[in-house]
Amino acid sequence: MKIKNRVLRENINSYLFLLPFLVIFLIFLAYPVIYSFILSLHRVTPYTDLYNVFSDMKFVGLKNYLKLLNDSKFWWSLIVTFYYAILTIPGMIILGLLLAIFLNNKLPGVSFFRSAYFLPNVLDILVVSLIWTLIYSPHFGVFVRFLEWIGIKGFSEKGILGNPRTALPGIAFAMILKGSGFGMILFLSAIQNIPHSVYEAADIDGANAWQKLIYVTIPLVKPIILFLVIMGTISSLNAFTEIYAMTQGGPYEVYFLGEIQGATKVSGFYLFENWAQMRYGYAAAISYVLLIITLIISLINARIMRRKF
Amino acid sequence: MADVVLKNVSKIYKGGVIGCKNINLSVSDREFCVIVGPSGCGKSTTLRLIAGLEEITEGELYIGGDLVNEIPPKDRDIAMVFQDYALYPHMTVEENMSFGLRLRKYPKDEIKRRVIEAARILEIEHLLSRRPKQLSGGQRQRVALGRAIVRKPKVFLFDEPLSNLDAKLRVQMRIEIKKLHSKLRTTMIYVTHDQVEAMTLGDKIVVMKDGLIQQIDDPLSIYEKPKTQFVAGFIGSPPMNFIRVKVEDKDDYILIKEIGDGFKIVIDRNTFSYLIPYSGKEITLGIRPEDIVDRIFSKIDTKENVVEAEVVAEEPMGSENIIHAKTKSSNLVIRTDGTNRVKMGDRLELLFKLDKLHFFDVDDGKRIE
Repeated sequence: MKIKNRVLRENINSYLFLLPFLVIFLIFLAYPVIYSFILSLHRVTPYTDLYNVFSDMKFVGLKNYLKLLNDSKFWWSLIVTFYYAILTIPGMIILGLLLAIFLNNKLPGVSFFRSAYFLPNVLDILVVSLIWTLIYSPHFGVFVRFLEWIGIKGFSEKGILGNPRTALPGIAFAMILKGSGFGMILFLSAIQNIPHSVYEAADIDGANAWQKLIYVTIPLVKPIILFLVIMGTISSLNAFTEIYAMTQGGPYEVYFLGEIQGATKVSGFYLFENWAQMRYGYAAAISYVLLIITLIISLINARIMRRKF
Repeated sequence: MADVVLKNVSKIYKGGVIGCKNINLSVSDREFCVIVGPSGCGKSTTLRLIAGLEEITEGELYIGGDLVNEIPPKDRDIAMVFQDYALYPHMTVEENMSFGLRLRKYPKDEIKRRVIEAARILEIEHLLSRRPKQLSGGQRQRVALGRAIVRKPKVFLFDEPLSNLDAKLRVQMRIEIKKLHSKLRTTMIYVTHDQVEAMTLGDKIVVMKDGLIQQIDDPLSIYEKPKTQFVAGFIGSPPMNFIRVKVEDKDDYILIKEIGDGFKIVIDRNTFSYLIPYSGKEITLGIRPEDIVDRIFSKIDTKENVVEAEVVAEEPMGSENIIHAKTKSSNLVIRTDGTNRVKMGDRLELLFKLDKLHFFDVDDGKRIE
């Protein structure tokens, strides 16, 4: 009996310590997750009481999900999201790795550059987006001026973000520069964990600088690369702020499945649009589909990461 | 197969820190040369200069007769075994061993043949598909050796390869390396701080201290005729006893007196004629623990040259007994037979083997002879 009591008391103590987190988790994570699923099964009708929207919606079952399957705008948004991921992830990884290799040298000022490259990461996406909107803007934007200076005049009228071909790559470029400092720090610590003697052994085995990078460094930072791929995919699926601040999903000059589509309308922004137009149930359904995609990718991640060396 | 010659080689780091200075060393083909010394003595630096992992500040380095100062490590035809093994963690044993050959674009069947041959010599054939993490320390060291062997280099370099192993394994691997040398008949240069490794492995021993070479000799010469007091104290375990003494030339004999009115020893004036110039001066007397005998245990009936001492500690090891004793003003370590047991405070009557005395200059530590 006594032992049982003690175990019980220890359990209670543990839960008490967990309580502050659990309260926050339940209110701000668990409740919205469950509630948005309920929302995704409902629809706002013309008769819904606008002062009490969330409790006065019509139950429609899986209709929202079925509608999604035939929604060319949704499929387009997934394509844009995928394209956005392709644009940002490799760039972020390659730039992060290059910076880390560069900063791994014992050069003067290395610690300054380490902080400098990491700093944009701390800034809010909104701030960075606004700065880049100015840089990319037509007529007076620095980037456009630079292009004019080297003889490219096609962007003078609409800027980078006004052109459907360059809008998304433009956003991706800005986000690569903002985000690669994070990968750099991870790569740097991983590289610094590789014993120096391993490189010396490679020297004696006859590897040149390039071969050392390909056969020693990259295989040994592979876990970081995988991690960054997963994180990048998730942040592409969640991408919203940069689109909202820089293009609002436009320019609307692309045709897909017979409809005009926004060149930068990623799924996160499409979700926001539906919400802003009071299609709460539909927006919730989109968010659930995105959640499932994210979960699948995370599971693949966990599977790959479990494979140790 | 090649000899290695260092001529006046120095390594001076930025800020004037000396790695090693004026190293003159010639290792002939197929020789096993051991560089030994305390940490920070420049032994690893010297090895890394030979490997080409660090640049030579001054002097010339020849491998197989070619000047290689400016040649990168990969073109020096050397192989190196590191203290921390330096295996590629993401490669299997087989991949680790074949990496150098693959980079050099050897034909596949040749690589396979060499890896299997080396694995057989080192008895690691069953480990070929494992990764370094799945191996024990001893197995990893064998893989590191294997990686060196498959290349069939002119010179093998070892940088304290056994320091990370436990005592038992170290003894075992030491013998393996010795066997390997007799099997491969290749020039080997081996760096260690362990004087037992140096004595047992080396055809030639280089003792270093503070970046300078103290002595180069074969193991027994180093043991029996150490050129400096440092070498005398570094090689041998337990180390040689050093006693500060005063020399007095008495015309038909020489008197050695322990400082502080301690023991006196009479020695032959002709045999030790080199001490005559030191008459009236202080010098250091060196005597190895096994060269001190106890008069009573050894049943020697003499009253001459007896050194009286009091036991302060003993370390019985079964086969031998290490006795720590105190004379008037110095401490002595005596190695005796394991059956000769003593108690704290026992009075000992000791005799020094007169043909095993070493004398060193007090000022520069050089051997007097």
